Amino acid sequence: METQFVVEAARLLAKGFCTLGMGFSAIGEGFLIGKALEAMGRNPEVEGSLFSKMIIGTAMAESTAIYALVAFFIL
Amino acid sequence: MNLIQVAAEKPNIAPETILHIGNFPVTNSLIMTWLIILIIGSICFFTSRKLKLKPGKGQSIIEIIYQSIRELIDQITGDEKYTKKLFYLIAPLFIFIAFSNLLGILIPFLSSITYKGVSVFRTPTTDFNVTLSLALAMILLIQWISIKRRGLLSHFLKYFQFHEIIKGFKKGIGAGVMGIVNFILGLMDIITEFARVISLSVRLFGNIFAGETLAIIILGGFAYILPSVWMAMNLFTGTIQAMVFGCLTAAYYMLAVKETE
Repeated sequence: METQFVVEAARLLAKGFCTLGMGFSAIGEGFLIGKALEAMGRNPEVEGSLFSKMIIGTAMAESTAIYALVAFFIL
Repeated sequence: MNLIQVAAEKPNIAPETILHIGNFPVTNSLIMTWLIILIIGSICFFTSRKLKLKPGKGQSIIEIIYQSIRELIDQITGDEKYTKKLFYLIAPLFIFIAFSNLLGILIPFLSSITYKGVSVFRTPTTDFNVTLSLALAMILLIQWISIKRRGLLSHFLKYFQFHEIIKGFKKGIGAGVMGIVNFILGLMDIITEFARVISLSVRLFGNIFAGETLAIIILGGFAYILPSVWMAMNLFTGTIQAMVFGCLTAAYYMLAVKETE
């Protein structure tokens, strides 16, 4: 039936849209890491404590991209 | 698939049932959880039998892990007595999630043991039941601690802040409008609680599950050097996600408790 093809096409389009949203998470993470590197450059002795906080912040910022990836695999 | 590509089947989201004990279905993530318990238990048992004041190799490694988790929690709580209370909750959580994320990568051929075509061992954190129950348990625990500290009515009034409206309107119309805004923010806190459950569980599940599925897709693409690079990154990601789960639980606990000071 024709509706089967339409539904399949719509599903693949939805999958494509899911991956578009991940781009913004990349911008956010780049911003975060850039600011952290700048702060490390100004004040080299806080490098140890700032690095682990940066990693935790990256994992938090990445989580929206992961939601989009899970939605991609579910569809 | 030809010489440079390896075919493997994509894992589906629900875990597969292997056998039934009575009426209870035993899934492959449950079997791997038993294996993890066995491994952690035997490490603890064999290390704690002879504890020396000048530690040998095995004991030093465990002391390093203990010390670093303690410093991590110290950074979040900033207070010594909360570290003591939180440590016995966060450290097993961290060690269990870290082990379960890493064991599938570190032990080779673990997913090749199959029973009727279904692999017997499956990483527990790729099962959404496991992550959802962990996240739900943590958030319910924090709610319970908050109720125990302030009493049921005061905890409820945190979300429905009627007294802010009344106090605001007594001062004047401008402050009254601020009171209404505070009331709406209090209602949004209810949604924040649900969002915390969902975000904690989906973050852990999504990272590990997507890591496994992408490893299989890369094996289907080019099977020689790329999968090992990706799996090395999965080792890193698995530890980071375990740490983020533990640290977020500690941070939510401190947020709920700090206001009662």
